[in-house]
Amino acid sequence: MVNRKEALDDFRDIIDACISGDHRAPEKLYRQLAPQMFGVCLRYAKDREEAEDNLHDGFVTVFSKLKDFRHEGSFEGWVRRIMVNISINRYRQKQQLVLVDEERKLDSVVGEEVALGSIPMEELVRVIQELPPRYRMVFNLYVMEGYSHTEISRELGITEGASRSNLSRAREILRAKLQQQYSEFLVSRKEEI
Amino acid sequence: MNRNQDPIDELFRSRLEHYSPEPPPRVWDRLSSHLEEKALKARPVYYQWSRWAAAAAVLLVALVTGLLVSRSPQTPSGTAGTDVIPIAPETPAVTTAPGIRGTENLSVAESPAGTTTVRPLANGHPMTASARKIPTTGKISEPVPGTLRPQTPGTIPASATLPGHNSQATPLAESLAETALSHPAHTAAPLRALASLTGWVKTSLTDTRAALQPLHKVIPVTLRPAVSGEWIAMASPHGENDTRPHREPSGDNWSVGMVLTPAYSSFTADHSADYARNMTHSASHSQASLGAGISVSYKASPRWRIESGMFYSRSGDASENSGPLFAGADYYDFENLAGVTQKYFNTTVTLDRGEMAMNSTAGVITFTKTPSNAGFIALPESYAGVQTALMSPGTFYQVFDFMEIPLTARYRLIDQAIALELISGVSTHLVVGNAVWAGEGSAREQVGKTADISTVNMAGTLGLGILYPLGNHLSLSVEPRASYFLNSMNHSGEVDFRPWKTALYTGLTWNF
Repeated sequence: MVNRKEALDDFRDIIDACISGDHRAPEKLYRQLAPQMFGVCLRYAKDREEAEDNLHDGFVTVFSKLKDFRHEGSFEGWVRRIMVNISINRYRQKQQLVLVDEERKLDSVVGEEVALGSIPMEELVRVIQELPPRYRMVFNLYVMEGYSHTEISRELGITEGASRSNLSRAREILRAKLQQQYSEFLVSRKEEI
Repeated sequence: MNRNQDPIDELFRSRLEHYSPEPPPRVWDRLSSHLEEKALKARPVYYQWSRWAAAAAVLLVALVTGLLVSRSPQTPSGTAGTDVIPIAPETPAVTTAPGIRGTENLSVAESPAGTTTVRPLANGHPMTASARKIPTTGKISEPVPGTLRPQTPGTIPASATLPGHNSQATPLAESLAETALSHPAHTAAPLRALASLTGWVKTSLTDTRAALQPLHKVIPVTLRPAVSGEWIAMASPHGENDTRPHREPSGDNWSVGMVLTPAYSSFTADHSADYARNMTHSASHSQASLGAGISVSYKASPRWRIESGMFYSRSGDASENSGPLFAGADYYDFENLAGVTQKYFNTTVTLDRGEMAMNSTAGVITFTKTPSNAGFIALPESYAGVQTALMSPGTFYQVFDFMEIPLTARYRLIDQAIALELISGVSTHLVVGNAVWAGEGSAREQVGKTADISTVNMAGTLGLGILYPLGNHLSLSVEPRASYFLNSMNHSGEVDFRPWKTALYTGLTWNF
């Protein structure tokens, strides 16, 4: 708790410095938050280039809205929310209509996720990026950001049913991809069990 | 359904919750450039206006102050050339100062035809070998301003003093030179110096033609070198149509600046015993002046910058009456016809066949013209023999114009919104002007020059640079600097004369 308070105080100083015109403060703020926010942007983007664009646009918004931050909540969460909104906006602008493969019944790999813990994070991000855009958005918003289907439907302009369906299909695709790519690992894991 | 029950959700959430890969540097590069531009655009109009107004005010104050203070030491005499004392051999120089009592003490100085070297001033004191010879025929007079007359013996045309002005000078340099000739003497010297500077720029910096191109575009139109320099500083080295994206200021490695340098100069001086025995004594150890110049610097590292350039500056001192050992006491003309008591300068001089010289603070003054209202007097005979003293009211000023070529290192101490830099280095001082003025108050005239002055001198420089950004690439600089000569300007061995100055380098710097 103390650490969190200290962290908030640290951000308060940097924020104040940014607002007062200290030209070194923005870079300091960026250095502290950019890696984590880049991780967020990578999950929402179709590739690394788009993630960089989102990160850039997100920080532009952060610095322009800095005076509006009231220090009432987590600054980190506030910045993260901005990054997510930037990603949603980009998705809206593209309005990509992607045909999703016909739903297929995939074998459940429930029980194998513990073993999947050793899959590199970059690989997990890659399989998320390979999802169809709307599935990717729904999965990220629901799983990573904790949005409800109601909120997702409002943000993306879809129905709640579509949101649920998209989430379900996203899960299945992710499960299938992981199973396909790591089948040998999973098979050996099953045999051990 | 509990949203956390799906293992896939849990897998991705747990693994990627704290996923923090380092973004590539180009993201920050882009972002910082964007922020810089946005910050400039977002500033209220009055804020931008106030910055420019502040910059303009500083430059204006520096310019006006410099002009005012540099005007006073060398205001030409209104009667220059009207009271010239002929020192031709045909004319026995009975020089009688009006209203002097006791004229029986005045001596006649005879000057045989031809020229000779200056003889020693006092017993045992050798006048320096490089004392100049002066033609003795003809009347020494001031040239008519704005005209170029054939040089006749005994006449010193203004053009003869143009330093560094050669046949290869640019039209700009020639234009400035002509302007210098048509200006009063007190403003002609800086113009002449700038004329030589621009001529040098043309012939020596052809490789940097692109960077200096605006110089040739702007100055001939306005003929205001110092003011035009501001536009030199502001002009983009890449031209008006440069569409390249703005780079981060930290990536700007080169800077070009145009500065004004109002200065307060003085000196340290030491003289041999023989020399000092018959020497004027310094009446004033300080002089205010205005200089200007162009600086070029290269950013060697985030905090270090190497700087050079070319600057015009001026240094000088004022000397009054000599000590009484040989010159005797001051002479007074008590209540002349005008009812005014006049005090006369009466320092010992050599007066030999038309050539006159006098020991002074910075070195031997060789006269090309006798000061107005001056006279000569034979001093009481001493072991040194009969001495002659020049009797002249007022003060002598030994003034030097310099073209400085500095080589300085700048270290950024504070890198905040207002940056602070430590400046240290050396500067080559080329003497481009050497003149001696005589007179009092605003009535002054050029009477000669100082002998044995080294053309090339070195000075050490130390200062602080305060930089205030006015935009992405433009900044205002205010830099108090002090410099001190590392060698004596006078190479005769009799005189150790080292000017020093404190100056406020104020100007605009363009980074690219």
